[in-house]
Amino acid sequence: MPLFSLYLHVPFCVSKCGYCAFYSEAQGGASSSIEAWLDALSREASRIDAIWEGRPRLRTLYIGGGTPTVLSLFEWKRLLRILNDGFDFSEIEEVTVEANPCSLTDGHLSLWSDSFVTRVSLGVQSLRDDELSWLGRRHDARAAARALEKTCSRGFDVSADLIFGLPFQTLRTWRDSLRRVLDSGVGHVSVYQLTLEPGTPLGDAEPLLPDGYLFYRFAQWYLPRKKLEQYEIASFSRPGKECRHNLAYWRQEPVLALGPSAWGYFPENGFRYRNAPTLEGYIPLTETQPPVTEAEQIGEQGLSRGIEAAILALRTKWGIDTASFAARFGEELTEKVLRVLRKIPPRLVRFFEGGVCLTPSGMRIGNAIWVELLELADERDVKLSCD
Amino acid sequence: MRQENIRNFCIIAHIDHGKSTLADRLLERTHTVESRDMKQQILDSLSLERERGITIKLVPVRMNYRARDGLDYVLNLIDTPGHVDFGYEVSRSLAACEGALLVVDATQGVEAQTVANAYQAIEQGLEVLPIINKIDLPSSLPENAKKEIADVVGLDASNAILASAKDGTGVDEILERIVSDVPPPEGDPEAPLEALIFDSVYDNYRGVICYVRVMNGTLRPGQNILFMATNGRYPVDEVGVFRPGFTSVGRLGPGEVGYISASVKSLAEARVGDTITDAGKPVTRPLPGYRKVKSVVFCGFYPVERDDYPQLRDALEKLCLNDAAITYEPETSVALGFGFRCGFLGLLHMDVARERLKREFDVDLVATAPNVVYEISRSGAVIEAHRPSDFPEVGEIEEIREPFIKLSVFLPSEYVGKVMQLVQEKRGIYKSMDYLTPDRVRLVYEMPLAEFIVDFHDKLKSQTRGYASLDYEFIGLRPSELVRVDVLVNGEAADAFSFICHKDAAYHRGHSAVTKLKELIPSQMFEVPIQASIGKRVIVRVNVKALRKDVLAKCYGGDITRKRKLLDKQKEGKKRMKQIGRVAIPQEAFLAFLQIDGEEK
Repeated sequence: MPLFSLYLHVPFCVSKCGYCAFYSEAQGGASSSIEAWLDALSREASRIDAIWEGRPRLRTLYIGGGTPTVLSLFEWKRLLRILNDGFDFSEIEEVTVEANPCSLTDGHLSLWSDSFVTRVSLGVQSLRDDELSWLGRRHDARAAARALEKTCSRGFDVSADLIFGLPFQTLRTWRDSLRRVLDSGVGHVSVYQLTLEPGTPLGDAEPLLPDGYLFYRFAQWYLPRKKLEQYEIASFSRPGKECRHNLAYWRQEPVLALGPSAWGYFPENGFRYRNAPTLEGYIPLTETQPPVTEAEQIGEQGLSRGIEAAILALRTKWGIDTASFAARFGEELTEKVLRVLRKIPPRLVRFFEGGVCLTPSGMRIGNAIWVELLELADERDVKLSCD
Repeated sequence: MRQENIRNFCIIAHIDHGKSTLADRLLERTHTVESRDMKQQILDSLSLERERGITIKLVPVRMNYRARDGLDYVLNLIDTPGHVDFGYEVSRSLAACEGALLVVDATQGVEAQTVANAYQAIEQGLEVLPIINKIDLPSSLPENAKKEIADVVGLDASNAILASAKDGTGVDEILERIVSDVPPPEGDPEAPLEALIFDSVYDNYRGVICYVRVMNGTLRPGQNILFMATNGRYPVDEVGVFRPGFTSVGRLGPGEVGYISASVKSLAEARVGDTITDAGKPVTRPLPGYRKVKSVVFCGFYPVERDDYPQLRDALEKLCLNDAAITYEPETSVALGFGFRCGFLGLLHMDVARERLKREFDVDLVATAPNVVYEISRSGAVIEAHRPSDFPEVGEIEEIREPFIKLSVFLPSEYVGKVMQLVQEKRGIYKSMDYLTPDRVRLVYEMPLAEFIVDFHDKLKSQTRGYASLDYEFIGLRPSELVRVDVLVNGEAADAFSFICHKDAAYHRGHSAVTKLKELIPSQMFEVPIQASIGKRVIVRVNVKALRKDVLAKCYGGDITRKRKLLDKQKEGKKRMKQIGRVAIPQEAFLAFLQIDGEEK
């Protein structure tokens, strides 16, 4: 049995933020529905154990949402117990919990530090009150800063999420948020651009958003100066503080899903699956079967899987390791991928001994480069239709 | 009907001078159509014609009239289009007539095209009856109009009929004068059959319907006829006249105007201008046809959706059944795929064809900007150049000749300055200016057709608030200092963006071309220079800045699938673009260059 990463989705929030398209039930979820969800999780975990004929060994665990901190201590204790019962933590490297500054309590932190939790990812988003209220966050900047300090002082590895590209954000307010986050001592920062998702209040309101370029480029300049290196498109960390769980995604490692709306992936057959997207659908399914309702197989012949692997690897600072890529997907595809990348202007990609990666400029226009790689899949289609 | 009691006539008038209203009055007065059944202006039967208030297709109609002399007459009115582009339709209806009503608006005087059409009628030996229309209007100046007819057209207008088609004044006199002044048709009913096809239409049930004017002999159902140009032989199914609908009759004698149907499958077999004769007793030579119609303006028609090419082809075929003046041949374009290069008599003709394809055949199409045909001598040989890519290298060219027109503009004198400036900007060469009346002026210029077809008419109209009228005639090819300006995208010549212009305008036009492209070409991974050049010499350059940011930053777990779908979409978008060298160019960029629009390129 391989070492797994496990993603657990907590589908509850106090209220939905205006921009968020992830699945969650607002109003904190009545305790009865949380209870029902925990029951279902426990059923799903035993089913996973049965499938793998034993408790899967975990390398990383990520408890995201939703808002995991809306769970009470009592509910948390039960959740940790379910996880302990269902999975083997003997080789665990990292356990991350997502936390919201306004529902995170000292009790949570104490409980976590007594358990296997090693890392807390705080949804700070901004350290400016006006920006936070525009986003529909229920905390202000002070609460967020306090949560950061509190968490850091407990000895967790702490990551802060920040959003850029807000309507009235300026380079100065962005710099403020970045600096105050760093002042609190975090070792990891994720920055991402506000994207308007259809079906969310902000997405439907279609506000005018500024070009995110300046903010992103500033973060690329500022964070490394503060010793946080960019190791992925959206992620910056001090050495050794990279998020191991997310690396599993970029490296196409096996991921198990737990809870509604969670995704998993099996690299041996390119099988990516998703659990039932809502509690309503998820809970009854766990009674009788694995609650998977959506699945796809990436590239039957490994070609699309190879291209996806190349694209994901190029998200990271390590880029594509030519030898291991060739070992997984063959010399021919490796050569094709390299040929595409050699045609990209040199300031965007960097070839080094044994591999290739994107430069900071290349990371800024990643989509355009990945689209070139995706065209490799079509080349083959064209050839097939000619045969 | 006795031949001496037949009168065939047409109406020559400028747009808006009341031709259609007058025709309606004649139909009413002769009880051909009862007034309660009249649609407004029934002769303009195409919806497009009614909307634009112009006549495009000629429509014949037969009226019975009892004159004051107590005799019954048959009056055949063959309506004619008023616009300058449709001069050939005019010449066709003139050939079927012995007389013409020259209608002039009493408030406006003679307009440019009226002169040309009146000259044609005179040239063909028609009796021309001047009519001053709209005398009911307070602003009418009938005496001025008469004077202009005499001075500008050169016809005696002393006995011109004063009329108001609107309230019916003068209509009786017009009918009487048609009877008394227009000569009856000549021709021998016993002679071998000679009938001129002056128009034909395609009917889904009966095949081609030929509009004919019988010159000699008699046409009957069942007769075996021969189309002299194509050698096609057919038995006649039906002969008839226009009342104004198709009404079948037993025979058509000399001088009569009517139609025949003979199950002819395509218009190509029954060409307009051809002579129909009796297959058993043919005449030896056909009637003189019409002056050969020559396309002067060309443009490409392409389907908006590439898959619609067959629909466009069928629609064009059918349209040409109806409008023989359109020529077309297949061509392909980098940007637009398969389509047709079509030739037209003028801009309005082109516009009408495009519009009819859309309305009558429901075809969505892209029309490229119109162009003319150049003649180029190189090392002794002469070639015709339809598009910029036909131009040889600069060094090989000895001389380029381009079509020139003689342009007459009739306008109120207050606009003379503006119009002169406009014509000069368009490389017009001043010829003459004379005052028709103290406040009306005729300007005559010579100018390149290429400048005329772009947007001259629209500009003239806006500069003169619609008070100017114009006419032009083709006066031949003249040497011109033209250059081909190429557009290079990232160093690669992009054929689709090349254009021809006068060398003095090359910088200005090149500059606007590259600036426009700069806006239309999306940022690439590298900076893209866009240059305009003449031969090897670059005359202007701009850069499209390199792509700065194109990334969706967040991507976790299941997001990978969503992310890939987004990238796939982006890839599909890119696929629809055309690759020129390493640069992806969206179709809109090509369209912006190729399509007709008001703006200068």
